[in-house]
Amino acid sequence: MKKAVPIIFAAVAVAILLLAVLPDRNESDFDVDRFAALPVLEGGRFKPIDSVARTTLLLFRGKQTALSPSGDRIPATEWMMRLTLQPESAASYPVFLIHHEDVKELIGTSNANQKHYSYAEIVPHARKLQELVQTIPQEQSLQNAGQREMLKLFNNLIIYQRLAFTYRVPLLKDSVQAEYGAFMQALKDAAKVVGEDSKADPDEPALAKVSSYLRTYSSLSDTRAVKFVPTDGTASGWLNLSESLMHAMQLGRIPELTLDFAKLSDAYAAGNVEVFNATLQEIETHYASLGGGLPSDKVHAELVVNHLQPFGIAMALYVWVFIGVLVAWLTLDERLLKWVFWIVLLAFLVHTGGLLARMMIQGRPPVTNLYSSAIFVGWGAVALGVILERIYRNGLGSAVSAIIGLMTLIVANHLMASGDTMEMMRAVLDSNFWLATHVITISLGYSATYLAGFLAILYFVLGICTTRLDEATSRSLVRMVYGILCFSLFFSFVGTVLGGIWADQSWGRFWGWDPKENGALMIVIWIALVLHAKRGGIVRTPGFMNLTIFGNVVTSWSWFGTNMLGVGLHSYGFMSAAFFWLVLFCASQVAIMLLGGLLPMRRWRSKASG
Amino acid sequence: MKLFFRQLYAVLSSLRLTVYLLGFSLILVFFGTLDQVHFGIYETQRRYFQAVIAFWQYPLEWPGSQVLRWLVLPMPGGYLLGPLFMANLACAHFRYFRPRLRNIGIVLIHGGLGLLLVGQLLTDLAQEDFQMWIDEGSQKNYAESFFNNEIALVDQSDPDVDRVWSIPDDLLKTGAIFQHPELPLSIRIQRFYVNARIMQLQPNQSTGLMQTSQGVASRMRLGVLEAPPTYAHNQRNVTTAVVEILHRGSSLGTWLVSNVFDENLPAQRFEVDGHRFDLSMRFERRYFPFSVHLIEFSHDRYPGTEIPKNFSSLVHVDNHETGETRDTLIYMNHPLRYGGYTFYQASFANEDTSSMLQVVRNPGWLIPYISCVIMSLGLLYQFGWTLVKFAGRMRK
Repeated sequence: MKKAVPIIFAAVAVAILLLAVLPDRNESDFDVDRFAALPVLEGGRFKPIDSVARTTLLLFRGKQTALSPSGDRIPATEWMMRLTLQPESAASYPVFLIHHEDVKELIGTSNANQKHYSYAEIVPHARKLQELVQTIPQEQSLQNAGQREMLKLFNNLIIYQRLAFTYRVPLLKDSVQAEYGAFMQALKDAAKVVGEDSKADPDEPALAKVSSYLRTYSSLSDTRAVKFVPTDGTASGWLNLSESLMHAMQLGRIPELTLDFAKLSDAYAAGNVEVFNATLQEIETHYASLGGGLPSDKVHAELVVNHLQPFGIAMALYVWVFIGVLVAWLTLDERLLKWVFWIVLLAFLVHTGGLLARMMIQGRPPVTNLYSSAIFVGWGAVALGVILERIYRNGLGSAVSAIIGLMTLIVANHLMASGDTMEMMRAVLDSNFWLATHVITISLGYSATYLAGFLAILYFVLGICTTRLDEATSRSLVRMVYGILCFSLFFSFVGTVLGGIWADQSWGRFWGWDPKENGALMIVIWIALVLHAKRGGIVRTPGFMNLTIFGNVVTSWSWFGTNMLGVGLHSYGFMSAAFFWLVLFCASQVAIMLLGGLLPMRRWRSKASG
Repeated sequence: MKLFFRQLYAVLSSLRLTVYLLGFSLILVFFGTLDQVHFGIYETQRRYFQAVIAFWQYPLEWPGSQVLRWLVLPMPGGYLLGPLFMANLACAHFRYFRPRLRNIGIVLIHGGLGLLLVGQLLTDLAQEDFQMWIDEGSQKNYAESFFNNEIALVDQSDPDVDRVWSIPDDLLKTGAIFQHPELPLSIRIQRFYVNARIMQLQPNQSTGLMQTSQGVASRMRLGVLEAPPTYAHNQRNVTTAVVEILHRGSSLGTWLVSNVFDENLPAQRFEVDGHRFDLSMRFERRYFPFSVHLIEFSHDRYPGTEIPKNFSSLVHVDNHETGETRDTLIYMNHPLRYGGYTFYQASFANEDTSSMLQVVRNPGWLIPYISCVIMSLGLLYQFGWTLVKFAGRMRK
């Protein structure tokens, strides 16, 4: 039996991997997969429409899936297809997540358990919502939770309405194609009138008709709307729906792709699967032949990443690794420990794959925003943990890798809800050189500090709760922590310095005592303190471990706390979810320190002394 | 006495002191970050990092502040910790370190740190910041201070050259009198306001508003009221003064000058002995021996978004002294270093037709670069040494 345990663990790990590769369950006959791959230009970059669907749903309900009117989960793209091709029928899909009482009251709902609301349920109250939103103070710190949610809902409604007219115009005739036919006819009639007499009366019915069309079409989408019609070989030549219809005036005809999508919408509304799928194929060939500066390989890669969700797989594997280490420690199964190491490696590879894919799609170094920093900090810590495990082979490296890998990916997962995680870089950050040097080194510093901190926590957990902390384990832990701290001091220091040099290049001062700079400095100071205290014999092993745990607090402050300063700390009652979790994390670290520091060693279950 | 010095030396050279100093630095940096919410970056810097002792007070906005408001936390400031660090470094090295191969790293790290601290002090003392707003197509040969103001008296009698006398605001005090041998008049500061509110006087109203007898304020019936200074990063103090001009012992009247009176208001002009003077309060100016001409400002966005991709100013620099001219593109992360000053793209306005360049003078700007290279080498050497030793042990 005992021999089978490692094999079972490995088999489950492989199963986790295979499960992710399986294609999505697709119940509709419409070719959803082909639709998902449609390229668009949105938020300044090319991406598959699937990404737009996913980020939109993340904004609306914090998940990458939608809900059908009956409450079943459906893939993001399936919902997107409905919303953009037949908006009338999408209105009953409950995709807006609403928590706050004030907002629910506004919508006039009586059901306290209902969390999701459809566009149709909200839109009758849109005017009232707009009036309320106008009274909300601009400064974030002055808003209460209800107001913040109202503002968010209002912005989401705008996004929803904009998306609804991504590919087609609202219907006055019975089909989109008929609509465009009428528009072109009106254009021709108007051209005739103007051709006969250049000083045509603006009240002339033909002109009035065209201008009514133009008014409607031009108001359909603002500049932020999804662009899907390439006109020349460049990204700036892409048009959105409204622009493409305006373009029809110069062209004398509606652009091919706009017409294709009209056909697609009509086929979708009529439930005509055959025409729909055939039209989609036509559209695909159109994009392939038009080019328009479209990086097809990147768009395709993004679609694959969207489907595989490598960080989700990695998370599942990290959980599995952690369980594996626990079982191995409890059963003293050295063989399992070796197998678990291979699972850590597997998780690390998947993690790395996701990271590389993002870098390739974005054409950027790995860290470009808070989300990607979470992924990278976790990656760095796991990499170091794997090296430790390779050297010491006692499960400590695997355990810490799993914990930090999992925690950072959970953090990343929560940060995802704020929109596109691959958004374009604002001007001052648009420098691959500095992103690749300063940001990477500073993040590796975070990785190492967390790794040391969690190893220190393990020291107390093993010592207090188990009998595993013998003299040898204790000594190897001290050596690990010390080594990692040195690594961390080097990277934090060099990272901070590089940041100073970047600041000197962009603002003319090396050091400005800005919160983020101070945060980085605090990590350097703290690690220097720990190393000096150890070297000077001022602390013994438990004290050294305690100081190292506090490094987690300092690093978290530097990483997240400093970002919250501007919005939050000075406002009474500020308690956004992120702030709450930060405080909770720091409190937990201090609690562990107190426990480790105050509980006399004779009460520990392990008898190793420091 | 000898014993005292020996004990002092023991304390100053101890590693325990290092640990305490590092601990206090951490506290100082933390509270010096927290208070930026209230005082902004510059004022906090002055209160914490450029002070001997810093005080942190429980913020009014935090829960329970009615009770906890009296909580004031004193801590050693930057100007106390810095010298102590230096003393500690010097003494410890003198006491413990012998010239050995494996200590080279330590010496490099700490030597670099000492240099860094000295460099920071130099920056604190010598760095100057200015801003320079230029409209497209126009030019400037001066930059203005962010915070400092000056009272300027410009003699415009000569059609070719303006003569300027200026009084920086750190000399301005209520009651102060200023004279210059070449000036036929003297200036008395009747009242000086670091920050003020300027408002219209209501008819028949006797408020506590200070009034003047001459100039714009008297014509527009403006009065001034003292206001508490602001530290918000997006606000400026309305620095204001009521100035009396004295000529041969008699008063010519009082004028209101304020840094919010801009070109849109008529200049405040008067004549003494045939000299025409303009009187104003303005942001302190730094004149350059060269002028900067803004040819074009561009603001690029990513397609289909409002996300800025780049800001850049195409400028033409014209040096009157050397006759040198050149065109330069100043953009993100690519400043212009010229004449001891560095010009950065900082802001823009007026629908992308005005550009703001930040102008910095920092004679010590190279020191951090050098010290950081030294420290990085030291760290690399020291930890490399540890690693090699560790690898050797693992192999056995």
